Amino acid sequence: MQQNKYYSFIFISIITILCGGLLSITSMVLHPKQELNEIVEMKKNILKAVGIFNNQTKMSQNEILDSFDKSIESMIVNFNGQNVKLPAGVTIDNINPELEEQKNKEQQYLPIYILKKNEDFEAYCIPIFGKGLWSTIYGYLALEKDLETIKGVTFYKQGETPGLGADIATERFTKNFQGKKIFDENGNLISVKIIKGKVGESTPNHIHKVDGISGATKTCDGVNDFIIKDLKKYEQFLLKNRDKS
Amino acid sequence: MSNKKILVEPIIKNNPITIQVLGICSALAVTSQLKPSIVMGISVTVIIMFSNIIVSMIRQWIPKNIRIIVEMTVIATMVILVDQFLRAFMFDVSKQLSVFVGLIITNCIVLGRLEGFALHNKVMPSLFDGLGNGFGYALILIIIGGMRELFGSGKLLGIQIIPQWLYNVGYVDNGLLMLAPGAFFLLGLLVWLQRSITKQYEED
Repeated sequence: MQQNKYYSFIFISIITILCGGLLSITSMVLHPKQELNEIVEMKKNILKAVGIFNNQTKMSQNEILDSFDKSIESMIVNFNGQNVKLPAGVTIDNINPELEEQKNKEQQYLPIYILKKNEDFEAYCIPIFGKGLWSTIYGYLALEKDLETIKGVTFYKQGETPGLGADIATERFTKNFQGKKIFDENGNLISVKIIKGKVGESTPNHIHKVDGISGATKTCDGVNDFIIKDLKKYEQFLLKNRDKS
Repeated sequence: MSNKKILVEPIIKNNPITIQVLGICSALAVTSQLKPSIVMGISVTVIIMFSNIIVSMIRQWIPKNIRIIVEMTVIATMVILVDQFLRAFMFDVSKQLSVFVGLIITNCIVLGRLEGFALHNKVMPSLFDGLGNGFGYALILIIIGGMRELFGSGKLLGIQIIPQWLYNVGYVDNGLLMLAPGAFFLLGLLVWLQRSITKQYEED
């Protein structure tokens, strides 16, 4: 009976239905918890990028959400750098930068997270994402209030090679971005570039260059590409508000 | 074979990593720190054990011609379950392990145990076989993970172990151990050490 092909077919169907059912139930039960983890992780990383949270800080999930609500104000701009209102029923948490990118330039909603201290804008934070070597990398980039100097960078979701490309998520790497400038002397947006090896005072244009990770060249190339890609989206906003300050 | 022997044998004498040389990829990839090594060891143990139990329970009904497909379905289900649980309850570790939890599906130890053992044995022995092989795998991961974290970054489980004064007099962490080749050397040394103790060599 075991050799009968109908038997095989029925058997594998039963197994598939059982396994599929089990997985669906687990996924349904665990999904809210996983989603909360993702949101906390996202907010934690915005806090990290603007510098009020680091790896040594111990905070519970609720404390992170609280601290985010207290110190971060968010806004949406469009490609021309103008403030835009979201349609009713949509909040900034629903904005998926990845989906926005597929729209026309004029219709994109671009989120900005602003760190406020006593009514003063202290830092601006934008989402960055793009392809590394194996995976799409997600992160945040924060600028000082001069909108030129990088305050901090974080990468919070990636599937790069552990021990090599995945090291972009470590503080050891991301702290190299701090203090680098994204505009050149003539006011052109040129972003920063991760190069091979160490950047020293003697490196030409060292203010626009960041130490690389050996063994992670492809990942770093990807990061270079998507940082400039995402900064370009905000170029008008940056230029407008730079003149003001 | 008694259950005890089934449980104990794969831990040292017939270790899946150092003797059978299976599951090397993950053993090199996730062991740069102790914590992910431990979680990976436990995950693989749970997956082998439950896959073994399930396949052993249905072994009489599995059609021979599609048995590998059935086995893979069981393994994949277990792996996704573990992945989902890690994501919900151990988010940080699951981020660190990233793709390697999903890749347990391709870990030859799991399929090897199903084909080699669970398909022909009763449920209880299969349970012990899964546990034993899982422990054997976990043991090597923990040894390598511990040594890499201790000598590669001076820490264990994220706590500084090597004192600051040692760094002040010139001690330097071994950066090679943080990279995959460092793990490869360690693993090679372990295999050598074990075989020179047990005197068990493979003749050609």
